[in-house]
Amino acid sequence: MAFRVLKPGLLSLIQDRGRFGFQHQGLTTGGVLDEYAANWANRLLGNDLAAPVIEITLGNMQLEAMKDTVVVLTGAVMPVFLNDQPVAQWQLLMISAGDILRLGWASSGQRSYLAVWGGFQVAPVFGSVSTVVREHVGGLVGAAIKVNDILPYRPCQPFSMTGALHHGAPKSAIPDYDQSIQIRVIQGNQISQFSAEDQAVFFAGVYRLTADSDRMGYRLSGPAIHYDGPGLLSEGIAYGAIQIPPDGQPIIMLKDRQTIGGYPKIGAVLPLDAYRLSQMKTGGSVHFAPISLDQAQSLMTEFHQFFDAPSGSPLKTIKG
Amino acid sequence: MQCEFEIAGVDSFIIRLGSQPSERLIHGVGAVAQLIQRQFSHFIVDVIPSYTTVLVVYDIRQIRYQQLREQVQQCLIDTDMLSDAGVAEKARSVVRLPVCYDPSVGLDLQRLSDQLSLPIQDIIRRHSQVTYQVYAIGFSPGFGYLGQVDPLLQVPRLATPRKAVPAGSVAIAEAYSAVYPQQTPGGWWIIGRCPTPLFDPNRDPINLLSVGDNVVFEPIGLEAFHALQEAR
Repeated sequence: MAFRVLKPGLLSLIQDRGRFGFQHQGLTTGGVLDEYAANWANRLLGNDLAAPVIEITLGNMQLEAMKDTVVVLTGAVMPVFLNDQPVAQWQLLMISAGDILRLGWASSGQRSYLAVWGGFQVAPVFGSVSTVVREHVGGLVGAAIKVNDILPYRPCQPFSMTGALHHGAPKSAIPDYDQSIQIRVIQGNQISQFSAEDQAVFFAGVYRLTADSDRMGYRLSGPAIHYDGPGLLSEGIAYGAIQIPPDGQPIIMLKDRQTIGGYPKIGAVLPLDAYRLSQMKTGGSVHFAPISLDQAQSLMTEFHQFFDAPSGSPLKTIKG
Repeated sequence: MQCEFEIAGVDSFIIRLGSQPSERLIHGVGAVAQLIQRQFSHFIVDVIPSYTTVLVVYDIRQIRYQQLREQVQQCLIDTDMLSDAGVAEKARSVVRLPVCYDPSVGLDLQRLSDQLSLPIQDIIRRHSQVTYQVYAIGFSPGFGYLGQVDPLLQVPRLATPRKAVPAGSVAIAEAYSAVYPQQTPGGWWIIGRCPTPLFDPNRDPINLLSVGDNVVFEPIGLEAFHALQEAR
C-alpha cells in the first residue's frame, strides 16, 4: 500500500504539524508551511489533522499508486492529471492500483499538499514525521523525497463513490494566491527599540518577496528599517518573528527557522497570514498592519475551532 | 534577577531575566526554564532558554497570555526563583567531557598556538581548567555555547569556515567553546575532539547538555580517545 515516486519534483517533503518540545535541544519545529491548505486536505478526507502529508514545492511530481485509496491535493494551483485525465484540486480523488498521478508546474502559489486517506505511514522521529533537511531529521531518511521512494499508506477497502465523488472545499474557501496581501503584525519584543519614524515606514511600505527565501525564512525587500538599539544576545525565535538584520530588510521566520538568533524583531506575523505568505512567489508584494494580541489570539482560536470541528467528510466512517 | 515579560508572537512570550550574561544569571535562566516546563507542562509547547532570556511557546487553545503570565509570575515568586538565594540553592549538574587535544584531531591547535604565541600545552591547560556553563543551545541539534573561555584564548571566528567540521570536534571562538554534535559546516577553531556523543536520538537524555549546566573538559591521550571511540 504505497505510492512509488516516479518524479520527485524540486522539493517534496513529508510533513505534519511539526516537532514540538525539542527546540531547547536546538531542533527546529519544521511542519507544513501552509497549515490552512494542509488542514483542508486532511479535513476533506476525514483524517486527523496531524496525519502526515506531502508538501510539494512548485509541483512537477509524478506518483504511481500500488493500491486503491483516496487522496486530496490542495494549495498551489497546478495542472493535475490522473492517468492523463485532468482532475480537480481541493476535492476527493479516487485512486486505483496502477493509477498515475501527475502534477505539472505550479501556476499560482508555491506549496501544494497531497493527503491520503489515513495519512502517510511514516515513523515519527522526536514525535513528528516532519522533514528538516538541514538537520537530517524526519521523513523517510531525513531528506527530501527522491525518485523510486515508497510512500506508504493504509489499506483502504473499496467503497461506493456515491456522495464522495463531489466532496470538496467550497469555492469561497480556496484562496487566490496571486493577490497582494496584508500581513497582520503582533507588536512585541523590541518594537520600542525602533523609532516612531521607522515604525511608520515599516507599516506604510510595500515589500516584495525576494528569491532568497526558503522554509527557514522569507526575505523581503522594501523601505529599510533602522535599528539603533544595543547589540542583542541570541534568544528564542517565535514562529512568524520579523527580524530586522543590519541591512534593514525584514526576514519573516517560518517553520524551519533556527531556534535562537540575535537580530532585533519588530514584531511577529499572525500565523494565518504567515501561511498565506508561504504561498507567495518571488516578486509578490505585501504590506504590514498592526493587530492586537487579543484579536490575533481570537482569530487563531477561530481557525483551530473550524478545523477541530467534525469535518463532515463522507470518508469519516470508512473502515480501513 | 529582573523579570520582564515581552510578547513574542501570537502564542509566545519572552521572559527577560537580565541584560548581561553571567554564570549566576545563566544558572537562573536554566532553572526558570525547567520550572516552567515542569509546572505548566499541560499549557506549554516549547521553552527555549538562551543567555538572559526564556522564550515560552504555549497552546492558545488551553490558555491566553494574561492568564499564563500571571500564573508564571506567581510561580516564580512562590518558588523563590528570582532571588539570589533561590537561584544559588538549585542543584545543577556537572557534565564531564573527555577531550583529546592531540593535533591529529585538534586541527587548528598549531595555527592557534602560532597566532597567540602560546605553547600548545598552555592552550590545553587554559581550555581545560575552566568550569564552563551552557549559555545556549542552538545552531544545530545539541550544539551548546559554553562560556566563558579564558580571555587569553579568545579569538575571532576563522576567516574561512570549514564546509565540514568532524562530529565531536571541540572548538573555540570569541568567549565560547563548543563540541560539534554532528558533522556540520563551522567557523570555530578546532582544538580537540570529544569521544562522548553529545546528541544521540536513541539515548535518554538525547542531549547531555541543558542550559545552565556546568561543563568540565578532562584531557585524555590519543590512545584513551581511540579506546573510548571504539567502545561506543
